Amino acid sequence: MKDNIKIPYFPGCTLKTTAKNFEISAIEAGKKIGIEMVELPKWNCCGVVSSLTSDDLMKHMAPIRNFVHAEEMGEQGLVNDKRMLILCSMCFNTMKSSNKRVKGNSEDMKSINDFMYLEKDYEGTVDVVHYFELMKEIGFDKIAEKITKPLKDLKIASYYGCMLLRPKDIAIDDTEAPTIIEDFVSSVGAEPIAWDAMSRCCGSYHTVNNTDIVVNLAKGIIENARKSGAEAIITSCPLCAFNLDNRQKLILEKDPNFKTMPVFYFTQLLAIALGLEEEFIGLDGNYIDPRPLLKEKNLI
Amino acid sequence: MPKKIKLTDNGAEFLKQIEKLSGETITMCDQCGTCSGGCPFVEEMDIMPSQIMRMTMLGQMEVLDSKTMWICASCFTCTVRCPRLLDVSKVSEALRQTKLRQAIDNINIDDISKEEAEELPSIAVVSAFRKFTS
Amino acid sequence: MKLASLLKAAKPETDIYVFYTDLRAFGKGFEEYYKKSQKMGIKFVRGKPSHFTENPFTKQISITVEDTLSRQVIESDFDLVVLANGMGLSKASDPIANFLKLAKSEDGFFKEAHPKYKPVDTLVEGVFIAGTAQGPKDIPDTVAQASAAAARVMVTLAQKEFKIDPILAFVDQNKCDGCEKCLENCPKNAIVMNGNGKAEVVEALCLGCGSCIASCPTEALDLHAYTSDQLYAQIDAILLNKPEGEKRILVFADNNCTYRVADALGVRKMKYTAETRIMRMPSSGRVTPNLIMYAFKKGADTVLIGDCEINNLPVPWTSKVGKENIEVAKKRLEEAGVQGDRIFFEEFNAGALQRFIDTVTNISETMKGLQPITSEVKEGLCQRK
Repeated sequence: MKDNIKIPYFPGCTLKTTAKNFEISAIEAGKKIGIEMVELPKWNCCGVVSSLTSDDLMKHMAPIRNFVHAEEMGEQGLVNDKRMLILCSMCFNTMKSSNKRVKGNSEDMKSINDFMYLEKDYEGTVDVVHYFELMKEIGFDKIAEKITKPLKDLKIASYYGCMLLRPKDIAIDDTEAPTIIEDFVSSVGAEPIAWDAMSRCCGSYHTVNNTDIVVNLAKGIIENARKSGAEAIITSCPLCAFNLDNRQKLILEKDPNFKTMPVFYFTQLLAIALGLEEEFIGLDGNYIDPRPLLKEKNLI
Repeated sequence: MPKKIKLTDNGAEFLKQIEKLSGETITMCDQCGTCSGGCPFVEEMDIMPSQIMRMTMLGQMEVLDSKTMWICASCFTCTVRCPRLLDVSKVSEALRQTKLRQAIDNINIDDISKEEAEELPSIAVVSAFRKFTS
Repeated sequence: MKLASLLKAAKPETDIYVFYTDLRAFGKGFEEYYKKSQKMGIKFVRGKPSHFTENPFTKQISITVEDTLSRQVIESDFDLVVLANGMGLSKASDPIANFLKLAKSEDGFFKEAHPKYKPVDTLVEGVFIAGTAQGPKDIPDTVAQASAAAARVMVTLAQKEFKIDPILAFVDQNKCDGCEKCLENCPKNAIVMNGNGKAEVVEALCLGCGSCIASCPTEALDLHAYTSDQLYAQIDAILLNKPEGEKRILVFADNNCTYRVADALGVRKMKYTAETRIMRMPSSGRVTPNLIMYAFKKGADTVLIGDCEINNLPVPWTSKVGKENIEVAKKRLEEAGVQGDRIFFEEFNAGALQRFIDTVTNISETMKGLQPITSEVKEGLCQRK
């Protein structure tokens, strides 16, 4: 195992805009646990949702174009790990699906390369890896050793959502009984609770024009977490984070008796446990302020 | 209300098209209902995911007028549980695409206020427009 | 259904639901049993549960399932859930399977020699199967099958002498130079070295597949009923008097599938190209590179080796050897300077009649573009005159 993993990093749109606080915590916490994230010098939108029809090759071009840049980084010696690190669950899913499709089909690969004739050809040498998977490789026990401020007594609901677990060939863990986020939660000293809604959909993009669906689903997920004894939820998807966190405003409007619950991006939790400065944790960006909870537990 | 349906050549052609677009053999569906039972959106739908499969198999093109395919957010819960290893998400996408390719969008940008739009993360906007527009 | 009935009989106040995908009460008395369960008040719901959740504190189990007949989703709590898993063959059977070299079918159960005509025999002579070793079944069927197996054992034990198939490999002791190459080319390890340092076939073990023969550099190994002399003579006869300008596809047809397909084609009077000539072989493994080369020497323009799909092969080993032999032959053709694809391989199942016709038709089409092999080149293809 390399002491310091220097890896191409694909941020995606949301971590660069409304969820910048998530990215900062990931980058800074990464430095402490031996992950140096080197952002792709050039990247484009992955398309967020993977296209599912059989005749849609062109929709896979955007993801593939990013892999070309990752390969270039490897050739230029900018990194020592040739995979591509992704934080956002949706980017992860879309990029991994497209990659799998062209790697398994030389004709598709050729069509896409022909179409991108201004770019270098994609050779199919890049694999996608999620932050959770990289931490698992480093070893959650090793990460636990680096923790300076264990999140004692903090009861966390590990929210996987859809995109890290489904479909099966994209999943980072067992589809129905995953443990990777719980293992992470334990490694930072917090207590993972067992709950049922860990992979139930948050309503995804319906948040744009059908907020009722998202309100119903998000409420159900948060209430299930509370019923199971959780004090906060963590996720790796900026869209889930928005639906579970910001949409609590709408849930409250509909049901004034609803009890809110803080939602963390997983790297925020890591950053707190590693004792990083508050500017690197970025709690200002969370809609439901988690600071009262953290103060109660003497963590800030 | 009970009604009679006719099994037609056009219907059979419709099934073939959806099977081609989705890459799924819809006639393999056992109608066991596992997809509907696990679907987190089922209460928002007018017909169930299993009914989509059934109607498509019988070539009932009215399936395209149902809300269900638009409510489906491709969460893949049905995909990973189907005992026949069918991907209902793909069938749903094929039905959406069939409609979208007739240049019939399912979202109107004017319905979203400026304040709402500013609040939304880009990930939500991009995905919604990928799924709802042609 | 049995558990539900027993529970209902013991505790009639229990509210019982049975969730099912399809219900088939196929056996004698089963339909009556089903009716009885319904009469007792057990509710049958057509739908496969998708989601089970357990309340972490009360341990109550909740099920989400579509009732596919009323098109409603049921989400309800239950005190007890009994899962009915599909039956599988016990892992403890693996050592037995390995020891006896028994095949398993796709469903994981032991494979019978023939599903209709030899339902209790296995592909290993003298070993019989019965009951759930062969597939899921109830007690009456198990008893019936076990009785049949016992009767087959009796037949075997009652014989004073055990008859075996006469198609067996043999070694010409004068030609064998003791190189031992054939030893590793027998799937049953039926070839051993004798006291004279020469190879010898243990006839009780030999399956007669012929896949050892290509490995013998001195042509000492041969197969009764399919001896090299007989096969060469057949090729001579088949290609004798081939008219000028005509072409020939020589089909080496394995006895288990391809030859049966060809036979069935004839019985049904189905037509295929008249350029086809068919030779019966015990297996594709018996088709040695020498035979293929000899066929070209004698005037064949293309050769088709027809095999079984691997799942239907009594001795799967033969397929591997057959394919290796083809590669050797292709190389020898290339080295001799013969142009074009001339050796074809195809796997058939016994019902693939139309596919056989299509295959030879395609080969015939390809053959139109092939130049005849010149007689000089032909001479160099094979040492045998």
